[in-house]
Amino acid sequence: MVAFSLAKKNIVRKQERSLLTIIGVILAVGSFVALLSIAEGLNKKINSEVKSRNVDIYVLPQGSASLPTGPIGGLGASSDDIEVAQMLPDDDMTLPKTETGKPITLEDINNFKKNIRTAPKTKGNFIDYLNSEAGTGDSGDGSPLAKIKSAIGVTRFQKSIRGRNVIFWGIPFGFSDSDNTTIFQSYLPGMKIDNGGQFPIIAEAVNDMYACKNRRTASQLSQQERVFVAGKKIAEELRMSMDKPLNTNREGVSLHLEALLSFDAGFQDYFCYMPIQTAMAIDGSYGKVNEIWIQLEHPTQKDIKELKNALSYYFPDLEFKTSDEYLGTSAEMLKYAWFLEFAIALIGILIAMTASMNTMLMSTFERIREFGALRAIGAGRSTIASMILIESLILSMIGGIAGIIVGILGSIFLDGAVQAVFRMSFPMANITFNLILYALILSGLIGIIGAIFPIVLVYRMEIIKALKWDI
Amino acid sequence: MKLTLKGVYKYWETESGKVRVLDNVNFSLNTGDFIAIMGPSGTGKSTMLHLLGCIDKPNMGSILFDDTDICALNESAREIIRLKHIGFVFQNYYLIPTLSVIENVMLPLQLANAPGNHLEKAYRMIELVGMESKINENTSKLSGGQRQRVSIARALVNDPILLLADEPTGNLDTKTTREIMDMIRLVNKEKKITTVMVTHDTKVAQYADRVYYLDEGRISSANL
Repeated sequence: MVAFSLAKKNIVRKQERSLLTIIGVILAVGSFVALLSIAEGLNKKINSEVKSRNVDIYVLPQGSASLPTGPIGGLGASSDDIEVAQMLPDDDMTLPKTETGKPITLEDINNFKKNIRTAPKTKGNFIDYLNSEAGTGDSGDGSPLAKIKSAIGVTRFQKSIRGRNVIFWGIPFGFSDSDNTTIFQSYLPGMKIDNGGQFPIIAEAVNDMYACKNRRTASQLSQQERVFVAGKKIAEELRMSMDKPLNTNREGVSLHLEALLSFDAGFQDYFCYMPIQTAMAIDGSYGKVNEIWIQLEHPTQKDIKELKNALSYYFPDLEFKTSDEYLGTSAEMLKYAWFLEFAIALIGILIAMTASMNTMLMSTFERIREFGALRAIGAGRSTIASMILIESLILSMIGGIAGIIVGILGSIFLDGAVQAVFRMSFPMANITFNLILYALILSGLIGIIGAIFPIVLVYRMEIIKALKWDI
Repeated sequence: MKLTLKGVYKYWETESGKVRVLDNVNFSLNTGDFIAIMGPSGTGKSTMLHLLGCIDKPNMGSILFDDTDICALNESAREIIRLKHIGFVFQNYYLIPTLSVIENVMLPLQLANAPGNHLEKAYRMIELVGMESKINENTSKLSGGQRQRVSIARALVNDPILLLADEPTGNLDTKTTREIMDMIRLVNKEKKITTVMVTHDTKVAQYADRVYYLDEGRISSANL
């Protein structure tokens, strides 16, 4: 209590120096919070993004594990050009098609899969294998493949629209409203159509496309096929309108917004979606998908593992990941981003620690006679040490708390700057409880480390020398 | 309390060898004794006060508080003795500049976690030294005499059995010196506090019951 009272009074005694130390800590903690909020935000968003999808197994090309989620495309580390599988342009292309209201079955999927084969480097033929092992979709034969409920190939590309990179997902839309709703709600279950309707025009576009199979480039697309739906937030930010066509700057293709979607989680609100054929045609990658998403019927961890193992065994040139592994790969990469940002913030932290140590040392040297007198009248070494420690901690914690506030403001600024520099369409920064906790721990550490040297000095000092100390 | 110094030696190690400061010092004091120690500068007067005050240790010999050899105690025990049984009055006062008069006087009570109302006890001491009108004043705004009064109040607040005064009037004018010495004498008589004072001033030394003269490390009785 005495130590606290004396520490507090000394802080007030040397206001200018205390203020400078606090400013040092503010800058260190502020930069720490601001920088790491980006990594934290990305981590959180990708977590919620992957969890917001209902996908049991992801099929990716071998070695394409680096940040496979869509938003990273917006950061430049795109995996858009990776060829997972190829639709045979000469075959009839049949996408999963169901009768109205019925869920897509394995048979529907297999019909779709028939028209996909793996890239030439793959040893076996993906679809042939599926067909031969799992029959033509008959389930119950004990094969892990029989547990597949459905699978879709998805593609994505990014376009610069009004200065922002917007990610477009190509989804295998169906031939009717209910097919489309089923596909969306099956794989992205949090989806809601904001303006009440379904996707009638999208379904018409798909029908139109199948009526005329040779439209493989953007310029060949009919007006009917140039359609998309948009996440609500990206539509708001880029002022997209259903009345006004959206120019993609590719061969004069303009797209028509047909519906606004909102989602519960992830980046989905910042994406646009369109029939996969339209996406492939605009992207100039007809027949290629980036990933295949597989869902299992009543999946258990064992089923998922078995299926993954079976697929991995026969298709060593493809990468099969469970949802957790898919997320884990992203998390692994994000860790590097976190450490990189931490390393940058560390420079500020070290400066703050030095400033704090300098302040405490100066303050200690100035008061050595005072400490000697306190020792002479009976104050213990621990009392003096506590006094220095408390003083240092008060300064660093005030700086830390103010630094967190500055960091939050800084993260808003930094988020804007990152969005502008990388032309991203979605916010990244996220201030988490953990980040605040780390910032507070860091502030405490700055205080403790700043006090160590002065404490050692005082512990070693003899009372008589202290009393005779000449400043 | 009986205070006894038996064969106390103290020397400093320097580059040119050992410099003897106290050489076989022996004397004893009883409760309420008031002695003054005089002598030229650098003859070990303050060193003796530091040894008595448990802030330094002799190289040889013992210092007994009744039967307890304080030189044999560890630092924590010596801290407690300093805090609870010894009052220090310094020439330079050594008040804490960030604290007010009352806060400075309360400090030893708080450090000792003494029972009772600290504020009340500190106020009584301030009254005793006649500083009640300046109770909330910051000590940096006080005159030298006023600071020394506060310093005396701080030294007495824990009811010590031994008061050590190192040139208590060294920085004060004649009038104030007289006032301070009257006060120390009063406290010595009324509270029966054993008092050891170091001074250069023969007039100040005359307030003591006995005067010792310290020269080249040896102590002897002096007649003023």
